[in-house]
Amino acid sequence: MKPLPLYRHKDTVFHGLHPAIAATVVFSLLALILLLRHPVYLCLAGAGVWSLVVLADVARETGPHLRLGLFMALLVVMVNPLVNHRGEHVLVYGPHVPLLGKLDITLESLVYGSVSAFRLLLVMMVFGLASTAISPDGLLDILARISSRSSLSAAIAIRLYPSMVVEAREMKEVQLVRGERLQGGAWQRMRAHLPFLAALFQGLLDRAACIAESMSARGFGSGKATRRRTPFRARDPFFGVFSLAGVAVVVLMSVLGKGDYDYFPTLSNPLRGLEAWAVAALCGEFACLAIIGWSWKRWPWLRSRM
Amino acid sequence: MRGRETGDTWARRALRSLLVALVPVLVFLGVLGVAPFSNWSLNSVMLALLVLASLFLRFEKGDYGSREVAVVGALAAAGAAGRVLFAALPGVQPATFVAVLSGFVLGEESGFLVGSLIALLSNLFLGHGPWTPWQMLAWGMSGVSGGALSRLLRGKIRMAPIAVLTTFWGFLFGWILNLWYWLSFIYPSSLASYVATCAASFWFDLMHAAGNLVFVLVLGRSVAVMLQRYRDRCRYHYMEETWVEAAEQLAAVEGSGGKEEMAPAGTAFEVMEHNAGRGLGDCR
Repeated sequence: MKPLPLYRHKDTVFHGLHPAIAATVVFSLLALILLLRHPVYLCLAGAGVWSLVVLADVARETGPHLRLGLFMALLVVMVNPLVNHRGEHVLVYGPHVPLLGKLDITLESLVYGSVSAFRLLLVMMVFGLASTAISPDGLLDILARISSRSSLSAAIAIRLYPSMVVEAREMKEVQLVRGERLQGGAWQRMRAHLPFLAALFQGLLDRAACIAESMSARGFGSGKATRRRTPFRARDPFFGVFSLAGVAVVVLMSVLGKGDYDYFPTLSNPLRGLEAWAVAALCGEFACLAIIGWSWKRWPWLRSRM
Repeated sequence: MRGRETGDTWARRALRSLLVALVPVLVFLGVLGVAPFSNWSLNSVMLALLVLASLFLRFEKGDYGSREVAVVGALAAAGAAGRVLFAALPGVQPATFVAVLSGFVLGEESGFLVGSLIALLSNLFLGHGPWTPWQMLAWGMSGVSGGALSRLLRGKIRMAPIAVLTTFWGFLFGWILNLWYWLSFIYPSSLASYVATCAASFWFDLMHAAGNLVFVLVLGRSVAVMLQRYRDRCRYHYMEETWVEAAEQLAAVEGSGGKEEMAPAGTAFEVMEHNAGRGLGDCR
């Protein structure tokens, strides 16, 4: 049982961003991936996501996300051709199955499934970046401005979690010293662990009561709460503006009906639906973010200014 | 604790109303096919986030005190720890069990918060993903359903209905989570494709349901009784009038000055009050 969250602070420009700005960057990437279905735009988004993952130095940490994403992507590739029989190029003629119809597998549905799987992988990478490079405490600070009580509950939960793990370990050691057999088959282990799970739960409720008493004693709810405010730094506007500009481009393309790709009945030419201005804008955005991140690492003067 | 602010400022009330009003607007624009809302993969996430935000803001509206805030946090920690503990077993997680029992004993709103915070907290350790808002919503709703069941049973702990509810939530949770996956990555969005998507996750859902059943049968009653005890412990109410009456009666019986001796200025006197309502009610 790991008592530590996935987030680790690192000396990178992404970790140094204000949590709200980092969340905006993540949101802009998600908007790009979810709103545009054209494979070329998705490849651009992939390059953007990967450059940010490298900038944040979390390529290894996002490994579990990537592995889970690969498994889910495999399901997408499998399910799509089974339920989607559109497309003119039939690769395999399948049997008739009730509810699903005739299981003909077409090239178009296979390509659609593969591109969807790639989108899912990108979404997983973006969430991997968010999990490992945005401080949860910073996000809770933002939540506290809107909903202070629920964010306080979340903060209490985050702080209680490691102490629960320590308490569980201690109780386990006490049980072992008393001669309890905690090893063996699943049923044996479950029976041995049950008394301590109940005791752990009771201890947790007692701790909650103690926390409540100390909160009351300190005047909880009797006035405005003091809050830690994370300051905005010079680097934040750059990332914020670039991200919002990216969102604007993506939304504009979606409103204009661009950014889509015709998979059915036959695959259309991938270069036909492309808009030069949109490609240039997205390339420019990701290049600027990458240059800022690279310079921040290699150029001490710029780093001191940002 | 008298005079505590509820935290429900006019700005929060306005924000809550705006969020609630935005839900049908987004659905309407999506149904009409107005870009970018016609893209249901993004639209459905925004809808889920709006619903979550408006329900979270309700927690500010209610007159919640330190005891509710602390116990919700503690239960969320318990559910999250249980989820991380059982992470090696696909689908088996006590989070649904904790959320349903929290809703059953503490009421719908607390159940919702416990359920949604379990998802938020455990994903700090297991990793956030596109599933996080849907998990928050699904576990939150399981907490609400626990509260609704408690109303039906008039607060009496009956393990059979609780077991049926948590087992059912094992499947429903998976079906809710499949929604976004189906809307975003499966084409066409038809009943057949949704059934195929749910069929792909059937074994995970079955494991989840079976795990929930085992948790309820093995731990359900003891955890519910513990929670009830905690709830009863919290049923205190600041009753100045009662104190004054009691002090007057005592003074009358003893004949002199007892009132001042027994009631120094500013002393809080808390008495147990039977709460006919739900959850921690108005006693805190």
